[in-house]
Amino acid sequence: MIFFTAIGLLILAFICHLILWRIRRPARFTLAFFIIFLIFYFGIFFITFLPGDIFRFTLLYWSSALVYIILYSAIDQQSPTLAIVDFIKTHGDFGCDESAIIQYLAPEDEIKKRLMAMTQSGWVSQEGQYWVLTQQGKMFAALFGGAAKFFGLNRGG
Amino acid sequence: MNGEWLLSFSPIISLMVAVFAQIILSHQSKKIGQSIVFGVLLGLFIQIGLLCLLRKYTPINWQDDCAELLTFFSLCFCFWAFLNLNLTSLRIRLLHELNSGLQLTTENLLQKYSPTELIKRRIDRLKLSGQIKQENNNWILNSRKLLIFVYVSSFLRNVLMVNRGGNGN
Repeated sequence: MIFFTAIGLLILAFICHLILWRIRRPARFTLAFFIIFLIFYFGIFFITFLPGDIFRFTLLYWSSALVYIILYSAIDQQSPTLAIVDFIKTHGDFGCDESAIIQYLAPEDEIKKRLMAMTQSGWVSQEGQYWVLTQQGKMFAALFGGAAKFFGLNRGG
Repeated sequence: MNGEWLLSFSPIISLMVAVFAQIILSHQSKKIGQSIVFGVLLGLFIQIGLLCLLRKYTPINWQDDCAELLTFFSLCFCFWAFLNLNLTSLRIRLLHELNSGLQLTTENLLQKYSPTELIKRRIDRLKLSGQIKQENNNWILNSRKLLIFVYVSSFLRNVLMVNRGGNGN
C-alpha cells in the first residue's frame, strides 16, 4: 500500500510538472518542484495509514522526490564534462586536440554565470568591486567545508 | 523498538552504515569513488539483512521490500549527490575561495579560474577515470559509459522541455 501510494502520487506530481512546464517554465524550478511535490504529498490524507506507515511513506516519497529534483538540476544545464564527451565522440576514432575542446566549449562566462546564480541564491553580494559572502553563503561554505574534511573529500570544481 | 518501527528506520540505519564505511575508507585510502561504492554496497547488505531478519517479527511482503530498498537507494543517491557537489561543483569551489579571507574581484576570479583551467581539470578527471585517452595528441573516447548519460540527458531535456542553457554545473 505504501509503495504503490508513493509511486502513484510521485507519478501524478511528475505529470503535473510536465503540464506546467509546457504552459510556463518557472524561473525557480527547485521551489516549483517542492511546491508540486508538497501538494501531492497531502494526498496521503485520503488514505488511512498507521503512524509508522506515515513515516515510511514520507521517507520514501521525499527521498524519491529529492532524487528527481537533483536529476533535473543535472540536466537543466548541460554538464561541461558530458559536453566534452559528446564533442570528442563527434570526432570519431580520430579524436580532437585540447585546443579544439577549449574553443568549442568557450566557457568564458562560466565564472560570471556562477556568480550571478550565487547572487540570486543569496550566497554572495558585491561590495564595490569585491565579492563577499552573505551570512547564508558563509553558512553553506562552513557546511561544505566541514563536509569535505569529515568525508575525506578533495575540493574539486 | 518493535518490528514495524525498525522496518521504518531500516533505510536510515543502512544509510548510516554506508556513510560511516565511506568516511573510514576515504580517510584511510583517499580513494573517494571506491569508498562511496563500498559504503553503498555495505549499506545494501545491511538493508537486505534487516528485511530478512524483520520477517520473523512483522509481516513483510514484496511491496515493503520494494519500498524500503527504493528509499535506501534514494537516500544513497542524495548522499552521493551531496559529496559530488564538493568534488565537482564550481559554485562550491567559488564559495570556498570567497570564504578564504582574500578580497577578490571578478577579474581575480576569472584569472584564477580561466576557461582553459576549467576544461583541463575536467579532461584530467575524464582521463583518470578512463573515459578518454590521448593518442597522437588527440583525445579519443576510451569508454562509452558516459555516452549513455549524454543520450539520456539529451532525451530527457527534450521530453521535459528544459531550456537549452549554456554549459554549467
